[in-house]
Order: sequence, then structure tokens, then C-alpha cells
Amino acid sequence: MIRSLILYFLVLTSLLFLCSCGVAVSLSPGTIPRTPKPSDYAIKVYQKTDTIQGKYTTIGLIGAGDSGFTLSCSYETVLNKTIEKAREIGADAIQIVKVDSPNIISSCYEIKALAIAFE
Amino acid sequence: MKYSSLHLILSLAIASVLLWGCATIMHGTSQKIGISSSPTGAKVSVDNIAYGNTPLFADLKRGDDHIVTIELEGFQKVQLTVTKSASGWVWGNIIFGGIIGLAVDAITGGLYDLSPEQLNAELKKQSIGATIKKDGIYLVTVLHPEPSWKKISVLKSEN
Repeated sequence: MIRSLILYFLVLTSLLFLCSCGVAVSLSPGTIPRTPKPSDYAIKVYQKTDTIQGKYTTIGLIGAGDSGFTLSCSYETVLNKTIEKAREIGADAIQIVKVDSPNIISSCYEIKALAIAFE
Repeated sequence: MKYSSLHLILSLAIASVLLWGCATIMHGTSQKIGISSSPTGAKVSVDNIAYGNTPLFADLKRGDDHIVTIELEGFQKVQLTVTKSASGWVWGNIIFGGIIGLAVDAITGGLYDLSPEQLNAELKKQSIGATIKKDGIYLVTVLHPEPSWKKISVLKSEN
């Protein structure tokens, strides 16, 4: 029995170590990545109610938030991670569609944003 | 005394094994989302994959966010998002100490609920205005011109 408890503890500890302490960033399935943008490329940030001028394509939906053991996840940190991911998949802009404030389940902000590429 | 402690530990171990992946067991790894439009019969694609025509129920994976596109000829395209957030079943794992269950739920997607559960798109016609000028020319305004259209002239203001 003690052996089982030790094993349970070891698995738990390994899981804690394996889990990232950074912000988790995800992409919706079916995302069509483009050529990545340089790290200094200015990604435009639109709010939900903003009207995007010009012709554009939505290339994916980026989600950024708690990885389970995230230590630093202020709104700015999470937004920066979203922007970083947008550059990575070659987007020109993001439109924030949902913001979840820290709550009883997570102490992190969570952002969902559409990745937009202008034509 | 020793026997009862062992019994308690054993019971807790069994309980945590049984509660591994609480949410996955309780509501599965996918969720049905109702998609409708007005008018009906619009083409629905989820994450760039054609799904069918409205009205329909789409069985979407709980572990992902999704983009739902609704299109009908002559109407403006509508894009909606379905996003995941932690399900109430997560407490089943937390309360009973099933950290492994929590991890299982996170991996399978059972940890999440998708919202909204029902999407309804009010499709707007592409033409937003049509007026007749004095000289008999129809002036039609559209929000999104077809890419195949060619620019043949520029209208100048009379003022």
C-alpha cells in the first residue's frame, strides 16, 4: 500500500514538473498558417465591437490562458502571448472575441482572439 | 486501528481511481451545438470544414475553440466563435483529489464546456441600398463587392 502511495506521489510530482509554468496558447483546428511575421511586426489589435476595414481572411482562433500551473498571467502577459502566436501563424491583426477575468477556478486572464490576415 | 487506517487509505485510493477523468465520464469529449440561421439553408463550415446546411446540430470537440462560418448566396457571410471554458465537473476531480483525473480530463477535453450552446445567425442581404437616379441609372450599394467585378468608372459627387 505504501508503495502505491509513493507511486501516486511520484506521478503527481512528475505531472507538476511536466506542466509548463507559462501561459498556454492554443489554436483552433483548421487554422491555415501563413508565412510567420518578424518578431517586430506590429500586430493590430481590434476589440470585439470594432469594425475591421478592408478585405481580410480569418485564419484561426487563438486561445491564451492558464496552463494549470501558470504563475504570470496578467491581461498584458496573456495578450502579448496571443500577439506572439498571431505573428507565428502569419496574421496581420487579431480581434479579441472573449476575455475571461481571473475566477475561482483560475487566477489567470484568458483571451480568445481571431487571427486575421489582410488581403 | 491499523486495519481501519489501511481500509481508509484503500477506500480513498479506489475512489480516486474511480473518479479519474470525472468530466470525461460524465459528459464525454464532444458537445452538440445547435446552429441555425435566418433564412435557413445556409452553408455551415466549422474550422474550415463543410458541415451541412442550417438548421443542424454539430458535434464539436470540447477540447478546442471553434470558428463557425455561415454562408448563403446573396447574403453577408457570418463568422461566429464557439469557445471552451472549464466545466463544473472539474470540481469532481478537485474535491476528491483526482489530480490525475484532472489531467485526463484536460487531455481528452472533457474538462471543458463549449459556449454558446446555440448559434443563430441573422443573415443580412449584401445589397444595402438601391435608389433610382433622375437619368434612370440604378445605384446599388454593396458592402462586399465580388472579387470578379471590374472597376469601370468612378462616380463623382454633384455637390
